[in-house]
Amino acid sequence: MKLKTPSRREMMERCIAAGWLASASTLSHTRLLAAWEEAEQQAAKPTPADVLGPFFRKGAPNQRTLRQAGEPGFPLLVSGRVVNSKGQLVEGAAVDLWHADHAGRYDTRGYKFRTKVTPDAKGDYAVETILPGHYSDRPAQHIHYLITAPGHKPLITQAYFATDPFFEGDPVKNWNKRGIAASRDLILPVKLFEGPAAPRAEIRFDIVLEKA
Amino acid sequence: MADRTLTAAAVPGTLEFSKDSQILSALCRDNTIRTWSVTTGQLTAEKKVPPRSALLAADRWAERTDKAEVRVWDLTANRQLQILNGVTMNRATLSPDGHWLAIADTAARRVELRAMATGQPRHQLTDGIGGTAALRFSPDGSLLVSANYDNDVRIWRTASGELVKKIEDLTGAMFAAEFTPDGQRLIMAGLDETVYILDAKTFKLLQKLGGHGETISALAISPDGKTLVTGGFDVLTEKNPVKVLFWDLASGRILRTVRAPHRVASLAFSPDGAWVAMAAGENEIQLWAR
Repeated sequence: MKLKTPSRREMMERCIAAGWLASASTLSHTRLLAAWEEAEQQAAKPTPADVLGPFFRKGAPNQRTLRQAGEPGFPLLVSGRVVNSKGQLVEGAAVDLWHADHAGRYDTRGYKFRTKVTPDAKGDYAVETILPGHYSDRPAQHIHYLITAPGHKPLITQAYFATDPFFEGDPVKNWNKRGIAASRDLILPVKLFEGPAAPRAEIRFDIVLEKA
Repeated sequence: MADRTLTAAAVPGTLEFSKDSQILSALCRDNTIRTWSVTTGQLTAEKKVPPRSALLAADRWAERTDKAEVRVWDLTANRQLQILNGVTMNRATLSPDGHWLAIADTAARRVELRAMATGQPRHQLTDGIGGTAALRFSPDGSLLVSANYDNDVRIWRTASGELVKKIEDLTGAMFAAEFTPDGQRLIMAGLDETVYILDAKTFKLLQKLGGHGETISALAISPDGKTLVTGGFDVLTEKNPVKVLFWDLASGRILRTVRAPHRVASLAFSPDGAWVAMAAGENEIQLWAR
């Protein structure tokens, strides 16, 4: 007969009974456990949303490499993991990702710099592309995201680059200059790598989805 | 060349003619509604409005307050007509008879249909996840179309709130949608540079017009239903002039092509059919006589 797995609460109660978990507080065990459980569930804050924008196109192909050899634009690797707010793997997630070319222009006829990728068994995704260009309407470089997964709220958001001249070297101060980004958390640090031929930039954008 | 040019102090956005075709109003980027006499071309009024307001008609505008509330104002009388509670306005459109206001609330992912007389909700309609790009009533007010940035288009029956049709096979958002004045067709266009002409009963595609050659941001249909005007949209608006095309709807032929200095924010025919107005560019509205 298969035993039922004890709940987190039951396990913690056993730990208290056995002396593995002791309270160093004047709070009752019940309240302390509740606070701990809540804190554990908040382990991963849901990724802030941002606007979809007008350039989304349904039906992008699942492609990991968006950059062709010899194309203009600074090489960029975008990667991250898609999890739920408990930090767990999300089954059946799909990541739509699209951005402007090096000159700030979106492909409105085809799917250049557009993809819909499926994270791997660990929830990781990675896309080889280029740093998006600037355009006057939204003068900070950004990558658009639409992430869906069964049982979760669809997340529409954007990733920005801390190195963008738009933030004047101080994204903490300037993240919302001209109302550009919906949250400071969406401005990502950039890592530079020595590539085989030329340097390459890298950003990591982890996605935390909320339950529907 | 335009037949008449109206000068604004800021970039003009939404345009609305008065029912008698004598007045043209524009909501400009500096949060000011400017009003001109169409016959003389003279600026007759300027009204500063809060950010995120919407122009609903030549003499009606809506204010979005910080308290999930919409206030509708009479522009000429400077009088508040209605307060609509519990809704955040991202886009709004008034029914042709002025009795109903449709308000798109992006965060709530719905379109609210409210009675102007009471402010009360008639229906809460579930819209897409991307925000509403275009929102229009049919000429008799019986249908409401919403084109969402998530690429889907929905059409509801306003009396029942029933979703009559959801168009899901588009790969690009429609930025403009209008019913023809006889209510027989729905015409829409957007990101994919194509004009779609649909039967407004079955919502079957009747015709696709592909000659614009750039993303389309605005469209207008002449009151006699014979002419369609489409306006271009460019991301790099500072460097790239766009086009305005006049189409013969019966044949699908392009009648005339005009260059516009920047993205076309709005196109409007005067109700008497005498003028087409275009908002595009730094501080001008161009009018063409027909």
